[in-house]
Amino acid sequence: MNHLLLATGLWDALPLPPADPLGYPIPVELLRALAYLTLTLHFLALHFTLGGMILWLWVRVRRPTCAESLSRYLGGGLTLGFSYLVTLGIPPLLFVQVIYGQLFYSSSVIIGAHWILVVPLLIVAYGLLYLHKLTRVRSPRPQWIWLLVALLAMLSIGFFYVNNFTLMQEPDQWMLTYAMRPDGQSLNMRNPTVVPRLFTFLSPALAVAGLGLLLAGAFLRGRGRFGPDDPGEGGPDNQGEGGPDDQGEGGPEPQRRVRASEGDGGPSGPGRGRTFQALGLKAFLVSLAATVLSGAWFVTRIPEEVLGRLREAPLLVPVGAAGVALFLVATVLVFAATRTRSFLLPVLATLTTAGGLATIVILRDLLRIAWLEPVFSTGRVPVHPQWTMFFLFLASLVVGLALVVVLTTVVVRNLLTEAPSAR
Amino acid sequence: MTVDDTRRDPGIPVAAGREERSPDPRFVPIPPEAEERSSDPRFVPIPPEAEERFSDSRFVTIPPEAEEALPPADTVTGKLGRAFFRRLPVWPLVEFLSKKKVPRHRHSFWYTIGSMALFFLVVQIVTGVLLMVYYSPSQPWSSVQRIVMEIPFGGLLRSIHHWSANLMLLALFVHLFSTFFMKAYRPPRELTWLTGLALLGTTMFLGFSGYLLPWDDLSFFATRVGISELEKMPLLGTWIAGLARGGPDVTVDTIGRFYPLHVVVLPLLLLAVLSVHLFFVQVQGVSEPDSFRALPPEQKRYHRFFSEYLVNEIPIWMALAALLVALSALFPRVLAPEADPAAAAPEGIKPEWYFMVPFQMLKLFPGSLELLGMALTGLIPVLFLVVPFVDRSVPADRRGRVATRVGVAFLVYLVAMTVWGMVS
Amino acid sequence: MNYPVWDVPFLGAGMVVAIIAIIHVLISHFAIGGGALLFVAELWSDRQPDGERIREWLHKYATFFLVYTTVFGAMTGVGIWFSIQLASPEGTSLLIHQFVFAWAIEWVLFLVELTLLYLYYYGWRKNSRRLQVALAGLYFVIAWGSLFVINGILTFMLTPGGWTIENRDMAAGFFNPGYLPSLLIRTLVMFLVAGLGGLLVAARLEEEGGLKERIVVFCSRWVLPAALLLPGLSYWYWKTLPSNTARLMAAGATGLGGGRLEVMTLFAVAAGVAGTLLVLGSLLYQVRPRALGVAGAMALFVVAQIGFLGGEFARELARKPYVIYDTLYSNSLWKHKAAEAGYRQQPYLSLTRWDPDVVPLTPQHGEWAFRLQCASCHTRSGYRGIIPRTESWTPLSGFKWLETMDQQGVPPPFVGTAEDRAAISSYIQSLHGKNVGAAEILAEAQADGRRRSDGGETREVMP
Repeated sequence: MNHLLLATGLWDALPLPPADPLGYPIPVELLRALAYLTLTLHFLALHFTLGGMILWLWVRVRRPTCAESLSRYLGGGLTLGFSYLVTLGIPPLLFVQVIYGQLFYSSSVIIGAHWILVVPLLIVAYGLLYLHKLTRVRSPRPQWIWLLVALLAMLSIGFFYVNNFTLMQEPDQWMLTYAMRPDGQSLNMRNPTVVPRLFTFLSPALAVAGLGLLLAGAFLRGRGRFGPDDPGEGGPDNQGEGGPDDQGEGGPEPQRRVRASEGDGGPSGPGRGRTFQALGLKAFLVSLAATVLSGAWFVTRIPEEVLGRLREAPLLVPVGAAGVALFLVATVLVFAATRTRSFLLPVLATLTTAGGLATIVILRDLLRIAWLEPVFSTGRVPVHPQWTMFFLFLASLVVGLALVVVLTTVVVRNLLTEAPSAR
Repeated sequence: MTVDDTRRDPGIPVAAGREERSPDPRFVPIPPEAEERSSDPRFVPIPPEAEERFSDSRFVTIPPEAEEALPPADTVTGKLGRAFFRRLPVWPLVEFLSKKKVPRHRHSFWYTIGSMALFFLVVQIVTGVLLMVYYSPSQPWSSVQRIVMEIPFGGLLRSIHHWSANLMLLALFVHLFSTFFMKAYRPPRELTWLTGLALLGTTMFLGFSGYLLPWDDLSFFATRVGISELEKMPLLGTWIAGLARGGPDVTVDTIGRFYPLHVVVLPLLLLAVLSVHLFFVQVQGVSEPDSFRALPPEQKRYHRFFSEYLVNEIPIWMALAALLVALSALFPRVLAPEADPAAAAPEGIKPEWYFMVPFQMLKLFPGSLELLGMALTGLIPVLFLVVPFVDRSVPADRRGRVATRVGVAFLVYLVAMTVWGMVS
Repeated sequence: MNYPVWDVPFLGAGMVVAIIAIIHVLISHFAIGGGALLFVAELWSDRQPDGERIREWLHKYATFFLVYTTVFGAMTGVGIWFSIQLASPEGTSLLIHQFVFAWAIEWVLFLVELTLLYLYYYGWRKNSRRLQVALAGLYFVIAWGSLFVINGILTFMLTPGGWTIENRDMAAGFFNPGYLPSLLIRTLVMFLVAGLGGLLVAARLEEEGGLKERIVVFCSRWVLPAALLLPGLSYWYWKTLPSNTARLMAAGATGLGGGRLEVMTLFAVAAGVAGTLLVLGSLLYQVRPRALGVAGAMALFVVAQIGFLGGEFARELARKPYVIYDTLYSNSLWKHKAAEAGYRQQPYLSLTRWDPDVVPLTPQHGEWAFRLQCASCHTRSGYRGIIPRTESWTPLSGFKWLETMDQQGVPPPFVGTAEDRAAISSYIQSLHGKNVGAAEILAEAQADGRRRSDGGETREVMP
């Protein structure tokens, strides 16, 4: 269809806005690198949270062994994970607007009513997660319905995102879609890749959540329990996301703490650790298989002409190969990690998985470049450098991250010490 | 505990009292009889002839409990307070009011709605008086146009008057249903309930009469439709409609009738009934819901009306005041073009929302069924009027439960009809 | 202009932004000022005999603070982004491309701020007192830093200072004339909101041993800086406004300038009223701290919310008719392009290309021309509805009004041919239920023009 339009010169009639007159603030390759980095981090937090929510729902409904321990661990990790998932989602959204603004804004407006729904859905999902967490002990019956609603809200957000990012690549669909519903109640269902794409980007969720379980499991096996006054309960979220959660509530509420630690009656600390690890492994494998399958499905649904242009991308083969290799290594590491109580292997597995996710992020952008080739090329946008600001940003990032790492280390160490402070 | 005490940190010792100060040789020593009257050397003792004045039989003796409660006699407020209570024997009233309590429970919030309506009434009176400064019943539309277009903040005042009227009615309806569901109408509070209904009716008429005054397209045709519906009432309909209009149709003469009604007659009536209503509330106290009443005494918790409860009302009034200004900025009341009685009524003319139910009913029962629709609409106030005489038992018995169900049905019906009328 | 217009019925895209933004603005101020309150209250509790019980209250405050600011604050913050790109893609694009790294720095600050909050909150029982105080203080500093950054972008839109689209001088745009007064005003307001949050949490305390009284008095004192300094700062801010804006706002207050009380003035009045009431309300609880109840504290929060509504609306309206002052009009028309000779006389739809190839002078022509040129500000019958605004229009008067609409003070200049104007006028008549063809209006206008040039008639029939 694109070729047809090109041949007839109809591209000129397309309502494609020109690039912003201010141009790029730094060379586009650097912008891309920033986008890749931050999007990978976003996906990591997203998958951790989404996978965790799925796991939690499963724990609530099926009540496996160590259900209470798992709940405690997830309750602590997920609210933190959610807030980082949103925060880490900001920079990739910023950079995509810098690089592809005129495409992204157009498609956002065209599906505007759904796009703005993302905001209330986020609030609902996050709010319900908190509600679910804060009432889990007091309430006699677990309110898994809330969790389900939160999960559905998350999935709808993903669906709207995929809609927008596919519509953005197809300016030839815009006018028709917009004219039908100028109030933005459209969706981009004509694109054949929407559904497989959604699955491909969601399926690593359980894998990352599984890695979290592996880390928690190693911790449990090493120490036997999560905290000095908290036998076998609670859980650190060792995703580098702000340290362990203190009972979800923190604060001076002794009665609840006592009640909370009753009734699990399951295996001992190391036993729980092994359960966590086994579950983590299972989640990782299921998730990886699903990713491979949906990825393959995704590729088959990409139009031939786009695929042709994608094959010409020089980065395709190295990045693809690296992705396969990284996921293979990660799988081996995950298997090995279930047999040990050291942190090294699960941490390495997490890092390689993050690398694998990064290759998916890059492939995703390569596909977009190929898709957009006839209409838009970033090379045609002028660069008006803002190097001072760029270095200011890098400096603030370095200082900020250093601050976070140092203080997190201090507080986590405090949380794991035996004696409570004089507070 | 006084305010000063509460603000002082408990850890800090109280400053040494002035009694402990060593005698200062610069001052003249005070004779013992003077010392007796006042221990504070800064104050001149009251001379005996003044003392006599207070024992004058024309003055009231202040009861000892009042002496205790009032500020010290040597302060300005203490003096003014004593002067007041020597002249007016109203201390028992103060004592009564100071003991007034408001129960604290899950539904306490609903007690606030009545005071909200009262606040809106005050706003109505203030803005209404200010609007009267420039409103002229002989040139209704152009004088309102002048208020909106020329007078500084005239448009704001008019919008606030409009919004406050609507919110006052809304508050009254909420108040009606909240007292209904709390069953506050049961003996001994039947009269409070009935005067409350009268207040609602008066306010609705205030809304109806005020709506015509700007004499724009909307208000003219809505009033014409409204009165002609009234006209269809059997027996007295024609007569009442003619009386209201001052003739066979709505003309400037109608304004001549509605204006004094809106600014003098109905407000006076409202204030009179309101003072009776509030008097009953003060004398009988706030009604307690059955669930609260059933609690053992040690679990019943109260707010003191003065000043704990009242102080907490003030921010609520503040929020309402801010809300009125914000609504007037967001949705200013627009003045439609001047009414043209000769023109055809514009499409889809509707009354204000609080008259939507009878309007919608008459639409539902056209032609010969109209009387039935009217009778059904008339049933609503009648049922509200009789309910305190039917449902009397505490705690609620079978009748009480039926009344609650009927109330829920009414509420659903009123809301549904109003919304339907507004969107259709 | 270059982008499609999100045509939201009844509300309008701008109102969607406003709804999200005013919720966010209150919370974001709370999120910064609350940090200061946590820091000061930590220090204060150390000097009180029952510091432990004060910290129990402070923990409740922190819980409320954490959930409220991270769930509603952070999410609506993202929501503002989502909504502004829908309401004004062109303006958002300009801001993003000019200030991308300022935004990125703000994000870093936010990331650190969020982490510090979690470390403070979850480390509550285990951290040393000194560490807790340090975390709270650092949190406030970093959070205030994010205001320092975003304030530059916000004020830039109204007073871009020495920045132009040609020189792209970011420093001039960032530290613009409105920057400092706005920064100070927001700083004071956030202290006020922090105190209100404290009152809300303190309202649930049972009175015993004067604890509640002391906490309430402590919290209500946070209004004082704003009460004392805001009037002067507001005057300063007002002096930095563009002269046209200041004139409109003053005209609204005194009844001059055509006598219309401008809506901008009304919102400013709402902000002033709310601010005054907040000061009075806080003083009320200074005097009667025991009386504080949940409903009263909530009511003060509502007043604050309305104050933010008034202030932010007034600030947004002050930019009329621009979205970036003196650069980009609210309907995404570039000022420098509109000034080019002949640009405004081109057929509008051929410039935007966002219509489904409508046939000129058909009803669809008017509808799409209205949607793409007017609907970014005006709905049909809802907020800023065009129907009540055109009650007195005749087909011909509307046709003429559009040509010179930029002289009314608020709308941007019209872009388009006589056909476009006839089509829009016809569309507006159709909204009033009247069927007048665009071609008819065009013919009438041409006849009117001939009459005027023939008879030398000069009488204007403008509404």
